[in-house]
Amino acid sequence: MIDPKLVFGVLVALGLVWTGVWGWILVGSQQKAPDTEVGPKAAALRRRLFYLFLPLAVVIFVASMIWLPYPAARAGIVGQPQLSVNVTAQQWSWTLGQTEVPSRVPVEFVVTARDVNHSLSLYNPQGQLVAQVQAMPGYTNRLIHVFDQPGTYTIRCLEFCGIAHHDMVARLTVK
Amino acid sequence: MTARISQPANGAVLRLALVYMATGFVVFLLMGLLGLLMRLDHGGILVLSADWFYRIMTLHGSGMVAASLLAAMGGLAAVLGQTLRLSTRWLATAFVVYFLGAGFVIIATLLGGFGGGWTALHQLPFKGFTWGLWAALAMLVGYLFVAVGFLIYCWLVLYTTVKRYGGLHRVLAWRYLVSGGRQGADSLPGPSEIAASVVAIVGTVAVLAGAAYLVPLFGEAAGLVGSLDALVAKNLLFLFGHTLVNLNIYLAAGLVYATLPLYTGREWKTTWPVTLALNLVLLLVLLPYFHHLYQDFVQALPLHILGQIGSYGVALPAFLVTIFGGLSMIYRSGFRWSVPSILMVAGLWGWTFGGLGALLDSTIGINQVMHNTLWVPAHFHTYYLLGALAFAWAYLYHLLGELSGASESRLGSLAAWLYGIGGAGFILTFFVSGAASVPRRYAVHIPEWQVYAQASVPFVLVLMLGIGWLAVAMLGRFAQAWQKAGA
Ligand code: HEM
Ligand SMILES: [Cu+2]
Repeated sequence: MIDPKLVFGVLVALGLVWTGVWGWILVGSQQKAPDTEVGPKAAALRRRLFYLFLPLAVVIFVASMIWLPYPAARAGIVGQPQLSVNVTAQQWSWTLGQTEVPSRVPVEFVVTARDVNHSLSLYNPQGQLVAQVQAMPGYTNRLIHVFDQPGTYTIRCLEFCGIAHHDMVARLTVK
Repeated sequence: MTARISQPANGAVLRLALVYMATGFVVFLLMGLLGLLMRLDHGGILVLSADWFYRIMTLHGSGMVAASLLAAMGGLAAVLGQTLRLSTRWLATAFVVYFLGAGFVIIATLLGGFGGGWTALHQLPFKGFTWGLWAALAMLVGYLFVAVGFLIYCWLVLYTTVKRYGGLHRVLAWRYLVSGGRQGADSLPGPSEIAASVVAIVGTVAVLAGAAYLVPLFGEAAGLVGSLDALVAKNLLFLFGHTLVNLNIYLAAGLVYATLPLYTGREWKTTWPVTLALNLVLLLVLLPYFHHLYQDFVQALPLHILGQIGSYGVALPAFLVTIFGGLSMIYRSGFRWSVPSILMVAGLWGWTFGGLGALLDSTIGINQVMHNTLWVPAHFHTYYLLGALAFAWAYLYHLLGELSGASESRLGSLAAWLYGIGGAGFILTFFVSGAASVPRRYAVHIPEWQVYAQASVPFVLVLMLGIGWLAVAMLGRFAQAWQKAGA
């Protein structure tokens, strides 16, 4: 699974490049060159950027598909789930089929909601969000997750469901 | 064909545009204070009750979205008024209807206790427990009015551009586009006119989706029909809500096309890439909303994939045409530093930075660990505060300065720097919170999370100082500008 801090690192790196570009533009903006000189150069650069960004986007898009969180895709990567935990969300608590699961085997959460939309999210013992899935009335969502470390995980609701949304907390022991 | 005649917008249109933008600014200022309150609450500095937090959150979110859209609508009306004859009666009607909607939202949240969030997923409006049915209905009616007000505006724009250029295909420059720029170059609309028309078309679709969502809800409240399917409701809600906020930036881009030339001395022409980009936006802008439903695993897989394609796809024309265009206009232009030009630079920077945050989050695998964390407010605050709104305030400030003839002191531009720097710090701490897995829409933050909110407070204060300073400067110019606009 993807580490959010890595994603933040990517954002900061790109942000710094972008800010650098601006620095260069703004320093250059104090001088003056005619439009007829800048215009064609800019058009050529734009064309080059297009031929750079388009394939780049396609490659990133295709590569990103290995992280698809959907059950069929996950089972293809981590294997079929070894056990299944029923989860029902309601305002404002969780009903869990069991509160103890093994680590390092695929666990399937079968998730639904009784009243309004909620969202099952799993926070690891270090407090990092590792997986989530919506809990919806009238639907059953299946989330397959492999817990990579034993310890106490925290379940939170990540879909706003009213006044005690932030209190919808439960614990899951991973052995 | 005749050359485009450029003239100051007719006095009544200009005044109405000022009313739109000034109203937007005042609401922005007030809602900003509510934002500060929420961040203070997150930091454990000033603790609100959960009830009040969520009411404030709901009011802040819907109020800001409405204010921001209103400001961009007004700005663009002034720009369009330079080349087109907009009906003042319909422009005024749109404003009144829109404003009524805002009134309902205020009543629903402050009096009725509605705290379901600015996008309350079905059935939450009817199952809130802390508010009654009437408050939920007032909120929905408010949305309906805002949507109808926006629809009137869209149709006014579309009617006017189509009439002026003799057909929708001409407004969208299709002959010019498909001929690779060889034909139809003599009668092209300006880039702001094309952008406004694209927004008007997509806006109509968004409003229809909103109606398809709201009408069954009223039926349900009246006991006429059963409950709307949760997944269908979610799709409709985000098709409406996401698209509406997304369109805001394209309206604001129309302001950039009009304002940047004044500060760089270069013309922003309707080139072939511009027509291609705006037509692509028309095609693609309805798709990204699917990224709101990535975590609804029961939604069909192709729709998830389409969401990621649309999200990536719509970024490319926006970046390569509007943002890149802005950069190349500024480069070696002898750019003048002033409040509007600083705000426009901040806006072009932030639109891209917020867009990068959005692109990352619109990647399905990343969304799995970012969805509904503060990363989400982080990215949209960036391209509102340091994007659409920076453009709108740049244009408002410019217009007031031009009309009032007030001279700009060097010190005055400090206000824009404070806005930019305070805003950047504020959104950065939002991003950090998201990366630390802090959930969005939580009235209470656990101690581990509070430090991020605490760190944001000084930046928010700097931002507020900038906003306040801009407010004072603009207020000082308003009366004279108003006189001049009507003359
Ligand atoms: C002026 C400074 C601003 C501050 C300090 C601020 C602060 C905040 C905070 C703390 C939240 C709650 C985040 C959460 O816990 O989920 C929030 C939500 C939000 N803000 Fe702002 N904000 C500001 C400006 C804006 C602007 C310019 C917009 C433009 C549209 C905006 C739109 C929203 C929306 C739509 C929400 C989500 C509400 C919801 O979840 O229902 N804010 N803001
Ligand atoms: Cu919840």
